[in-house]
Amino acid sequence: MKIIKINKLNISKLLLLVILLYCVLLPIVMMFSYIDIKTFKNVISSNLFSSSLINSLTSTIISTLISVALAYALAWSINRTNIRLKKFFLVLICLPMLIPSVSHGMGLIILFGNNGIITRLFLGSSSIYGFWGVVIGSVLYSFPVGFIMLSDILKYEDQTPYEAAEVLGLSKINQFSSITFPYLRKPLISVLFTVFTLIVTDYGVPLSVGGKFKTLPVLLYEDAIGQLDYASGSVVGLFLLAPALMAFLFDFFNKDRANSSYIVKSMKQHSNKNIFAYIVLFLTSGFVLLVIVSFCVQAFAKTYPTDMTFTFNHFKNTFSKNGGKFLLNSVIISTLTSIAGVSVSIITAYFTARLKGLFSKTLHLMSIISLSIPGLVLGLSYVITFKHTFFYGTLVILIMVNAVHFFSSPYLMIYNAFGKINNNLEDVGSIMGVSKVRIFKDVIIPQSRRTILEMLSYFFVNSMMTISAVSFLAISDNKPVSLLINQFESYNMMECAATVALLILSVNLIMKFIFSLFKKRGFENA
Amino acid sequence: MLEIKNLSKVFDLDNPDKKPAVDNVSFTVNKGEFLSILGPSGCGKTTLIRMIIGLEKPTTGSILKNGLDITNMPPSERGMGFVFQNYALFENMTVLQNVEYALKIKKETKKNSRDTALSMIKEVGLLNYVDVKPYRLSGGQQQRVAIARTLALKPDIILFDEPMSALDASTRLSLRKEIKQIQSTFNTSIIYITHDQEEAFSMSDKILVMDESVSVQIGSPEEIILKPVNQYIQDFVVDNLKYKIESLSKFYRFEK
Repeated sequence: MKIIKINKLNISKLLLLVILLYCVLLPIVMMFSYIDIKTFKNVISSNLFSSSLINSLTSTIISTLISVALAYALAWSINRTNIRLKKFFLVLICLPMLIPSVSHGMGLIILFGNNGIITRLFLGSSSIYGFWGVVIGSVLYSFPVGFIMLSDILKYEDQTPYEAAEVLGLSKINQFSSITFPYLRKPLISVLFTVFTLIVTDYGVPLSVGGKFKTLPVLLYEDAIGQLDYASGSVVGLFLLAPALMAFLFDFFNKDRANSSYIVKSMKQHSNKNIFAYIVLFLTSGFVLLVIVSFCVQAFAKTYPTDMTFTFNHFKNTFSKNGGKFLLNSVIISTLTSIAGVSVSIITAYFTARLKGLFSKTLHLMSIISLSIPGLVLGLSYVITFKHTFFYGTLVILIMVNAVHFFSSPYLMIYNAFGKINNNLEDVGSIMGVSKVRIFKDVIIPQSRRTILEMLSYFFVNSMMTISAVSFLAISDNKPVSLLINQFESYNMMECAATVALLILSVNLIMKFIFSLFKKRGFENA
Repeated sequence: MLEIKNLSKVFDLDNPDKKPAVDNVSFTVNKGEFLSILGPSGCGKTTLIRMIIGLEKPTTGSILKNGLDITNMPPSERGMGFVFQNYALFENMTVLQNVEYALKIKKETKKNSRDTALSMIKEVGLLNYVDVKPYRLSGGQQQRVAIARTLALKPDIILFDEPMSALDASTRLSLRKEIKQIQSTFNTSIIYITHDQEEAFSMSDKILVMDESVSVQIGSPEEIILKPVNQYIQDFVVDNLKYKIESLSKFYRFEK
């Protein structure tokens, strides 16, 4: 048997492992232990459950296919053509990532609902509530994620196999089946899984635009938040965890080991299919803009649609209902989540990517597993586990749940960044008599500044717009502003809901802008 | 003088069938001597010098420097320098900052560390690049910065781990001369790892040829060429060099 040395390094690793076990694994285990056979049978034999399950599956499958197809068309247009205004389009098509999912549903209602702008102009009557509303809302909310993933994949495709194929005289069809398809297959499945998981676990869109069309997340939401029935909620949670876990395992075992630095020559850009690219980009960004414009109309018009005078009344109204306080809550939560999340992920990645050794693999696995826990499930498990602790009902638990919820992606960013930094630096330090801590502080961190900025931005923006996990843990005092959208919507105060969506969008845009300034200034390749 | 006595390294001690990475290697390096360790990739030469510098712990055997047992001493106290194949520079620092970094940490005065750093940068001919960051330098220049950084700490032995395998032929040739120059200027001993026969034979006072974890032959370049101990030395070293000479002699007429 190996003897574990007691030194500072191993103690800090152990400490990190305990923290991760406490924040990630313990709540999930507690949630499962909440389920008993009787409730399980009751829940799954109910008609509501089976209809919700079918609704979830059908709407998610259709939405995923549309979303990924759209994302592919966009990624292709941006990466493989030499159209103009790429940066402009990029900003627009990524906007939906800055606002809560529920606001996409709301945007659809403002546009296509019974009193909707488009409905009144062109359609006359509305059929947005239900299946198609959920599908369109879900696509709107998920396609930017697919777009970013596919963009990365297309960007890193190597041109040389195609050149070899040209030399060998392979036909285009042959080239597609023997080069393109094998290259895209695994990453594409991974994108499909990710988007599927994102949609199937979201309650925001179906809650706002689904009407009688209920999905599993809505069921969980109503059980656990509406009726405080945690046991039934947990059963539904189990069904939401399953696809996410499958996606995680698929990715984990199919990780493409290929390194991006392996590219010999990046793909050339076509110029001949520009029109297609322009059409796709114009339509998509136009639709995204339309939704945001609809928020503005709602938020700034006196009484839409009868009195369109410009007014700040809805802002005043929102702030009089504690909107300002909750906005401040959100900013505090997001800032502290960024700092806490980035600190913990940097230290963890330092152990897993650079020092390796004892516990490293376990730490790595614990760090990426939170990727597979849907926000709703995480939130529910946190209520069950931490209801009676002293930090329940404070901002602390919201920061904790957000940091855990959004941990994996920034962790992977810094894990990869650390992995790319010369692996002999710690050895150089030990030869020259410079401690690991100094090398970490003076060399490793300065070389990762760009990545760290991206991580801060990721934590901030997501904590600002999330409505999933936090909805279980917010009581009146510690509520983040995003949850006001649900609340205002349920009171049918669409103007105030739109105002909140705009507020969140503005804060996130400002933060994105500040981060991009930092990135430009002295933060280029350290 | 550095004495390596019966050094062995087994990485997976739990597995009795596992072959050692380095198997019972012994040799000595005298003050100011240039020793090359020559062998194909995977023969254990890198593991061997990582043990000498102290980055790996030997499974058995000992390392003596001037009679003192340094086998378990931390790397930084051994008075040795190490030059990596991939330069391992601090990418966020300028050339000057790279070279003076360790001196500053060791609490040398600001002026002292700057002076030492600048004189070492001068030694490797990069005075025009003191404020440049490494990514803007060529591979050969980067390796020179790494050498200056090593020299700044005034080691009496410098270990080179295939320092030129990522460089092109003409850069190799000039760097070779510089390393020899450094050896004589500072009277440092050098242990130099390479898989290139020509490099080893053109630079070394002594060569240790390794194959599959063991030391096959050690001696001066002449001894190895004239008295190869077995077929492996004959094939891997002697014939290889002969072929190079023969293929070039078509074009040259050597003066007698």
